Amino acid sequence: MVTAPNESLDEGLLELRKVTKAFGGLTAVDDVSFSVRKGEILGLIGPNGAGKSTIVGLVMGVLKPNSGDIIFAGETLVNLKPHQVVQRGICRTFQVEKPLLNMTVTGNVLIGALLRTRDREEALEQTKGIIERVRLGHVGHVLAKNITVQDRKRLELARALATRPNLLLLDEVMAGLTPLEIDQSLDLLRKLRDEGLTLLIIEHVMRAIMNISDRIVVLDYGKKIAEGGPRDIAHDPAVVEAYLGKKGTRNG
Amino acid sequence: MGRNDPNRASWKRYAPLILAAIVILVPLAVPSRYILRTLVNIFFFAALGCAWNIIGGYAGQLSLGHAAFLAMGAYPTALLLLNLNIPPWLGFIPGVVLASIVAYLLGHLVFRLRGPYLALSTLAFAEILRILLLHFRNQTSGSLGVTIPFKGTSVWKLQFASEQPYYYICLGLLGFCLYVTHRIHNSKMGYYLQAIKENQDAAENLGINLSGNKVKALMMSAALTAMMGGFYVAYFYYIDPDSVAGMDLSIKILLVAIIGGVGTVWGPVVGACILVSLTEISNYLFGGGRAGASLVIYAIILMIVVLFSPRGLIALLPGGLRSYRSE
Repeated sequence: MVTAPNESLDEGLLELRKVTKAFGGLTAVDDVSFSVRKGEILGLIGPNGAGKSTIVGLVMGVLKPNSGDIIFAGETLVNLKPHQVVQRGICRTFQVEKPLLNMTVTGNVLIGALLRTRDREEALEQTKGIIERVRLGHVGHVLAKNITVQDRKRLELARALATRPNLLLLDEVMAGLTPLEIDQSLDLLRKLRDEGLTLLIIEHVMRAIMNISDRIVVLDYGKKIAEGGPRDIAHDPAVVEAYLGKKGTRNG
Repeated sequence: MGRNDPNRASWKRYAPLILAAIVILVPLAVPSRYILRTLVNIFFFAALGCAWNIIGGYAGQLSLGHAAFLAMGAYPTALLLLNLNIPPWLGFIPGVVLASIVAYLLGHLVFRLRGPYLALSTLAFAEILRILLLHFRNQTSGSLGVTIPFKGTSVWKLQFASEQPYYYICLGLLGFCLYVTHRIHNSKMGYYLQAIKENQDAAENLGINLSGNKVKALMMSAALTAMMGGFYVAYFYYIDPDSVAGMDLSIKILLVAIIGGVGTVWGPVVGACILVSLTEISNYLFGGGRAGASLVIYAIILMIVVLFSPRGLIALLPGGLRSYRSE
């Protein structure tokens, strides 16, 4: 496993410190700070365009922040390339799934497992376990281009898990699932958390995120507008305003 | 039925051995110099196709300038032999080293690019090398080319009056290229290259070092290609910039791999068998006066393959599909 040098307990596993990212004139992430504590499930929500996916890109090293720092297990991630971030123990899923189309579901997951072992048999063993867990057993030998959208979502999760991350960033893995499937996913995510995985979840399915998150961070127009437990967030005036609009603005 | 059929199983087990035996015994049984030359040509292009396949097939990074690496192997071999009397079996080594170094540097530059830009820059790279070879006349004899004089059979200098020794040398080199691709095919690197080919963003998110793996693949591909450049000198006794660094050669190399089966170990062998034999047939039918006819034939085959068997002709052979990685 990945070594995590001297984390103190009050520090987060992942910490964003005054992170700003602008695309030209648009500030997608504006001076955002928050931390993800070890072993928790943190929900990241906000209206479309709030900067959620940009934050995932920044953490993974796909994007470089204009200012601020991102710390994982005591080390800065800002100068790392995406594959190095994955090697450090963070993995993401893609909002728009990116399967390796001409490989089987098993092959897709196997490649992730090969990150931590050179032994193909060992990797295959892990792959089988993960595929069963995310309920992809029925399509193990099917090419990824021939599976349903729901199964592609599961494949995203399976592949990320195969890299054996300490922190998993889930970018809308529950979109398009039925209520039953959402419940199954939530069960799985809780189990993963209980096994020591830390999760940062971006989700539009409110019922799901309110249900599973230990804490929630709310973004709007790139700024953090609230942070706290699900119950507090749901009644926070700033959050209600961001989602529903300001009361009485019409009348001035 | 088929899979557990014992007859089929034994057929499968012995077929490669029988094939190997035939290939090894042919030069002893076939007196025709012409047929042996054609077979050497097939081995030669199969080996080049194999080498190209590592970067172009497995990693899916289209190189249109592989002739440049062949020239990097051929010119040092020829000049060392001519000027310093260093035999080709030693003289090819500096070329291989040079090609690997250039591939390393070129890789770091071009693999920042994706899609058509990569293809275009490799094409431009080969053209630049060709023009440099023409320009530095004093060292390379420019467009006159370098001619190696034949001074009687000499094992030391790899000069043979008969065809058989070349046949076995080229067969050995092809065997080496097949061995290398076979090793890659079944290794972690093979999986990583395929992931890169399928989707670079996804590959990166699986912890795969994109540029590192691509550069490594290009270096291996370039080294093998340069090695074949050394053989070219020993076999043909003549090189000039157009024939070893020209675009025709680059295209032919990738056609061998694409027609045979991209990203497979044996595809280039199938491709070379088809392309080289068709070139011979067309030269026989149309004669030297219409040498361009073979190009028309390449184009037609390429179109047919791309339309009807886009994974290459090897996919049409029994068991051919299994050579694609599918788990």
